[in-house]
Amino acid sequence: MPGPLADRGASGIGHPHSAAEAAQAAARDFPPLSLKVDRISVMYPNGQRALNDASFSLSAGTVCGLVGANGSGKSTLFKSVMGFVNPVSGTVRINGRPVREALKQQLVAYVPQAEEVDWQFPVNVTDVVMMGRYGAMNFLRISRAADHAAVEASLRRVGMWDFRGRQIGELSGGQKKRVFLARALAQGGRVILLDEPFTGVDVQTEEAIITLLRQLADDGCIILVSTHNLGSVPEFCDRAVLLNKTVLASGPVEEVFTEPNLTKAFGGVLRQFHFEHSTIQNHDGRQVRVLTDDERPLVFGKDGHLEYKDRTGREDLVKIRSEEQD
Amino acid sequence: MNNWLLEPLQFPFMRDAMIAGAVVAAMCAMLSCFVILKGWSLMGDAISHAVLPGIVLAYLTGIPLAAGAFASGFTCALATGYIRNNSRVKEDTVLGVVFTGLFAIGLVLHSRTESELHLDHILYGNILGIPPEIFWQVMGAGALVVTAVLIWRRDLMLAAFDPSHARVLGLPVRVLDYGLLSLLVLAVVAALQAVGIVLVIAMLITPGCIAYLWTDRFDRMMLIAVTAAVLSTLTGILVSYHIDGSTGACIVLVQAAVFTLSFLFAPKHGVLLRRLGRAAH
Amino acid sequence: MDTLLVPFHYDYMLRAILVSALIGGVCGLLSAFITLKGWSLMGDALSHAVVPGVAIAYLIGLPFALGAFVTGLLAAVAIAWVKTGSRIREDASIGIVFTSFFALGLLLISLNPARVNLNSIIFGNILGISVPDIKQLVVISVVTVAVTVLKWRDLMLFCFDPGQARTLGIRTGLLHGLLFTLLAATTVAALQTVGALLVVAMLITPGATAYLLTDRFGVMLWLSSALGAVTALAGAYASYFLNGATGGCIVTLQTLVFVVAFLFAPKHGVLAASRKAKRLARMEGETAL
Repeated sequence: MPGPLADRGASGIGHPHSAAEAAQAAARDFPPLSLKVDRISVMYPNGQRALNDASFSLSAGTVCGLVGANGSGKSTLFKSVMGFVNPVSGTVRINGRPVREALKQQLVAYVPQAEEVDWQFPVNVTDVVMMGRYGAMNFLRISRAADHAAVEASLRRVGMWDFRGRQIGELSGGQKKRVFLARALAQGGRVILLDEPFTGVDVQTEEAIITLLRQLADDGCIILVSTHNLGSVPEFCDRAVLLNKTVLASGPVEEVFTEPNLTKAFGGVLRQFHFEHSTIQNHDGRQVRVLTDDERPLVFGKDGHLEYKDRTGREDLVKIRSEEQD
Repeated sequence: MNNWLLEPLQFPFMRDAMIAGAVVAAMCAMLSCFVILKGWSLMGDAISHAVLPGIVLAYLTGIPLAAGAFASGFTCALATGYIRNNSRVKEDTVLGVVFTGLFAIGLVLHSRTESELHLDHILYGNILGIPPEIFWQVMGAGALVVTAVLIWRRDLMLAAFDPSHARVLGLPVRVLDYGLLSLLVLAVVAALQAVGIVLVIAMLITPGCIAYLWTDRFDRMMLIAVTAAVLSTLTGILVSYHIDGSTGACIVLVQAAVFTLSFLFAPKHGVLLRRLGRAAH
Repeated sequence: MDTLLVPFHYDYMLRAILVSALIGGVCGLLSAFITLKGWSLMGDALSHAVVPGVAIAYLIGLPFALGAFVTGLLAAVAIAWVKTGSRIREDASIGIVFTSFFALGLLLISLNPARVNLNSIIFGNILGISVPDIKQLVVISVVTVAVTVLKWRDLMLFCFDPGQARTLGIRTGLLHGLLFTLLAATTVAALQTVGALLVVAMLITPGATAYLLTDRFGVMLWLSSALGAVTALAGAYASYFLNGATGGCIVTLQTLVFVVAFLFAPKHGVLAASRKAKRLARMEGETAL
């Protein structure tokens, strides 16, 4: 679905004929994007530390999962990237500039958690997406043709144009998420932060949102997703940041998602299952069924390899593993 | 009917009352949309009580009553915020403690002064006997509040709906919050003249609630709220003239009646029609 | 010295001081539950909603407690109805209902100024309280205290964790009703002392103060009753020297005590908290080195 990029304002609302052209256009309009969190420490007002010496960096075209248990500092990190809290030491830089300047350029967009939103608020879908344009509007927030065009393009891109007149409370969980994503698009956000986007969303919608996030990353955005849903991270993130009051590990998902790292992040929260200690016998073959309340369980193979549920698209990984075995 | 409407209007005091009442109603109704969406109902109630010591002190020191009221209303909001952030007591309890405390201090101060200040007028309003200088104060406050809300209503709405997003967009959310608080205090001070301290809060929530039952769009909500409030206020003043009862009480009761009708019969969010709709399914 | 004893030479003052202390104690007892349950706004609403009931009771010659109780109950039902029947939030529903009730009371009184004394309802009239009214108050107080003392553990569990209470087989609906009834009863009682506008202070401030001073509910109960009784007693006494704004004096005193607790409470006060934060920051600094 290579629709017009909503985030480029009036000039960008042409109709690029291919995704490649769109990507080219994106590269022309924006310098390569980067997000660098450099040794930040954040204190709560009561003197306790929320984050200690946390560092990681991301470049354009990445979907990054921010993973940690409750109270690990996920939301504090989000707030630092959005410029809501001032670290006592360290810096957050977007394109090498302080967050404040990035906010002024409308580079950062935020998709709130479903529970944070008052769904009875008297606004419809168009109103919400139009809010994304407020930063670009004049003092009285009077919308112009360009704003309407951007709203339409964003809504079409997330497939919510037909619902534009609905009051937001009348949408399903997935539709609500898409509306807020459209708002981020209309804003022209390049660093998009999503807070627990998959809670209260069925698996099908989850896939749709993931597809959209991947497309946005391909257009050169940085997508930062905070989640406690471990299993979904390898399926759609390129990179991951593991948090527990500090950054325990960051980098490509395969490198970050190792058993020792996850044990460090979650402590005893995750349960382990060793085949050799279990009642499973050889004649059971290589097949087990995993029942879990998490829609996407995380499965490690021998030697602590991360296992994916589908080998299509990961043929090279399968090859490497079998070569290692030989 | 014509007589019922026109006869009172030949008195200048009634004309003044109707004009002042309409202005107060309009400004309060505009703010009421934000008050109910932000969950600030108790805050409105608290501020309206907390202005009392300010009014008494202003009277004693000879500064404008509105200035004193403004100072003590704001003190209430700030003190509540400070205590809430620095103790484990729940916000609504803190608000209750602070506003009753301030109100009580106001009562004690008033009882200690041999003043001409009519406590009755402050508590229950005195719109039928509104003095000219107060009339013009109300007009000024009304013009200020209405203009400010019209200019900043979208920013205020966004800050109410999704403060995080507003901040990411670079909107000064804190300034907007304090701005709204200031407008609220201003409206309370003006509305005291119409309905008095005790019933101001009705002006600051009922119109918004009425409109909230009729529409799902914010701008329309504001329009409906203002219309409902102005019409109820005018009706209330007329009724109170004819039955010779408390004007503030009549205004609030007419508004309550409009709310009850809306609650029952509003097309989408009313009780009866929703029930009918469910039965039809 | 003699001037300090003057209030005790007048029968009406002595009576006012004692009745205030009684009601202050009872309200303080209940305030422990109200603050924990988060019913502060409900207390405020009730105190306004009882006004038409009192007015009607005076107009037709019924006991004022009865009228107050009936309209208080009606208001509670109306609030619940508006809240569940529409999308309006609880705080706004409460606001609409209690102002409507209060306006009705005000209108009734303004139509019959000669027969009902507005000021005695709004500000209380403890100095001129009649003997039958005192009898009503004593009965209300005794019943409230007795019920609370007997059922305080159930009520505490209900405030703390209604779900757990239900799994234990306790009828939470009944407890809800019970607590509400006690609240209404004490509201009516306090109406006489401090008046409709300040009742809510009697019903939350002692509880909030005690909450800052202790972590044990049992201690909080007697502490808040003691605070309520002592402040009411001292406030009523002081009001003799302050032209008789009894309600204002009592509530001002209660607020002052709250402020002192807020600043100086050993564990939950501001000063203690800032000392603790400083210590933590220092320790953090040391471990960082």
